[in-house]
Parts: sequence; C-alpha cells; structure tokens
Amino acid sequence: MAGVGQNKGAMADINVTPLIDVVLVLLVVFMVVTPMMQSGQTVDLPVATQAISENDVGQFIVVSVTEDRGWWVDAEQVCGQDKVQCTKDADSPKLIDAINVEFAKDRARVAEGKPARSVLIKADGDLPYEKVRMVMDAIAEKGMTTQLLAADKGGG
Amino acid sequence: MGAQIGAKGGMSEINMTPLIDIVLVVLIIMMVNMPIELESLGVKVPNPMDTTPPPPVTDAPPEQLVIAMYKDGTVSLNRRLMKEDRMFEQITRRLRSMDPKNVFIDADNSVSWRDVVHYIDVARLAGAAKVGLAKVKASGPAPATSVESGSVARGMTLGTPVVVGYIDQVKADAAAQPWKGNLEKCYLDQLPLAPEMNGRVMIRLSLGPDGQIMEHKISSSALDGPVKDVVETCIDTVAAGFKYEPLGPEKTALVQYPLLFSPG
Repeated sequence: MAGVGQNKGAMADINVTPLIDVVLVLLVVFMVVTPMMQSGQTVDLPVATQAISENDVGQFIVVSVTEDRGWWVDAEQVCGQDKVQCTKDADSPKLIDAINVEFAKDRARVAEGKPARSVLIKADGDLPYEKVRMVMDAIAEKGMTTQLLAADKGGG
Repeated sequence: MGAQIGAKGGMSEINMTPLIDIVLVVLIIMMVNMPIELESLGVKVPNPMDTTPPPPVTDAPPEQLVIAMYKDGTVSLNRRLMKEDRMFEQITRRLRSMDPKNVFIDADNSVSWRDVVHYIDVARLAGAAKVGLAKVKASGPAPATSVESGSVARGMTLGTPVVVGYIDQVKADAAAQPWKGNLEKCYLDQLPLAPEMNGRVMIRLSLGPDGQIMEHKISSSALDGPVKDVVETCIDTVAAGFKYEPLGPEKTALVQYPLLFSPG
C-alpha cells in the first residue's frame, strides 16, 4: 500500500527542469541581443531634457558619427575603417550614396504602403562641432534641411 | 507509516510553477519592449548649396535671437556675453513677445557637439519653437560686442503673463503691476538670510466670471535656499490679492506670471 502511494506521487509530477533550462537560456539570449538591436552604432550621445522619445520601430535611417570608427549609415560603415578620419571631400559622396541606397529601399517600402523613413543623426558628444556639421551639411545639400538629432533624455 | 513517507516526499519538492510563470512573463515583457526608445531633437540646417549670403549679424532684426558659441567656451546672446542661466532667462523673456519663436545657434567649429546640443536644449527649454544652426564661418561666430555685467538689477522682473481664456495679456499685466512692489518685497525681505537666492517663479491664477480668483498657486519655482518656502508663501499671498475686472458670465481664464528674481 505504501509503495503504491509513493509511486503515484512520483508519477504525478512533471519534470520541469528542462523547461526552466530552455526558458533561462532564452532569457539570457534576449538580454545579450537587446543591446545589439539598437539602431546605428553605439556612441556617447549628448544629453537633452527636451528630447522627444520615440519608439524605434525602424522609422529612421540612422547616420552614426563616431569618434574613431568613422561614419555609418545604419549598419554599414561608410568611411573611417582602420581609424582613418573621414573627410568632407572624399567621404561625403560615399555618405550620400549610402543614404541614397537606403532611400531606394524606402521607395520599395512606400510602394508596399509603409511610411518613408527620416534621417536621424546620431553623433558622439565628444566630437568637435565641425566633424558633426560636416555630415549635417552633406545631408542638407540633398535638401534635407530639417534634421533629427539623437540625444539621451536627461534631467527634468 | 506509508502516508507519512508520502507527505515527506511532497514537502521536499519546491513548487516551480510560480517561478516559471514569472520568468515567462519577464520574457514576454522583453519581447514586447524590443522596439528601443530613441530620443531626438529637431533642428534646421541651411542648405550649403544655397548661395544667398547670410545676413550679417549686425543687420539681423533686433528681435532675432542668435546664440554664439566661441572657441574659448564662452557664449553670447545677440553678441552680448553672458552666463547660461542668464541667457535662459533672457531668451524666455524675449521669446514671449516674438513670433515666430525661433532661436539660431552660431557655433565655432571646435566647440564640442555635446555643448551645441546642450544649447539647442536650453533654447528649447526657454520656449523656442524652432532652433536653427547657422552656417559655420571659418573665422567663427561674430565676436561679442558687449558683456552682460553678469547680473540683473537687484530685485524682481515681472515677465509677460501667459494667458488662456477670456482675458487679454494687457489686462492681465495691468492687474499685476500695482503689486510689483509687494512681490519684490517678499524676496528682498528674505534676501539677507539667503544672499545667493535667485531664480524663476511662476504664479498661476484661475479666474472666475466676476474676475474673482478661484485658485492661486506657485506652479513652479527655481528658488533655492533655506527661506525658499517663506518667499513662495509670501508671493502666493500677494498674488491672491490681484484685482481683475469681471470677465463676463460663464467666462473663465487662466493667467500665469513669470517672476525673475536676482540678488544683483
């Protein structure tokens, strides 16, 4: 009688250990992947209290201006490989080309009924104004004179 | 005996269900949250291909606000050197009567991007609807021609009231004028106890149909120091005494007065 009772008790329990294992692994994968999911490159953004928060659902073409890794359009490096400084004359056309490629993709998106993306400039706060302005001017030359600047929301 | 062993077996097992529940919920929250928050500021940049020369700063209409940022880290507003908090006050005050409410930033090439964004932010905070970045000149922004003495006159400045509803700005302003002395006294009386006390205080009054004050309060205050509360209470009491003409049946209004205090 006692043996039957013990047997039944053991049978009734589902072994949850593999489930927990899988779930925890998933959790860790997400924790690792989340920071990589951000748009553009990781830069030390300037802080602004008046910045507007927007959910990043891919509505931006992110132009990253980094300190020692050059310029990027989304995940593509335009210039500045091997710590070479990007220059206005040599690299602006490349930047515009890369943005144009994204705009071409946009036209396909718009045809599908999705909204066109706007350009967001994500520049490192430690850069001198000149280096950032170079990129802004190159983009403004294309007629995009209203630009969005990425910032970290801070303070009140 | 058998029953006892069974009970012991039950005791030794940890109930995993709540843990799994929580972990799964966390997982789902993270999946939903995946779109990452991005914060952005908008600015206007002139098209460099546009060859029309920018108007010289001296010819700029007097009501235009230009923040110049120099190589040495100093900043000026319309070619007048001043500190950041002073500039914030000035922009706030001057933007009130301006339309369109635009502020331009003319920065030297070597200024750090962080500082440029900071001043875009200051202009926004002071009420600028649009912030424009001026064309960069190799020689840097036009040099400052005067220096703000670093301080406002000792005492209080009554800013332009912001009104909503059935009252006009002129009447709202007129209502506060007779009380200016009393408001200033609130501050000056306490100043010896906190000589560094300065900043901006907003009074908010809601008015009823007979011009009566239905509600009065300090809606924001940048004062600091030990006697801050005394000053604010005093200001609030004075504001409660403002007199307004009847607005008319069923009509109400909301008036806000910015007060700027400086120890001089």
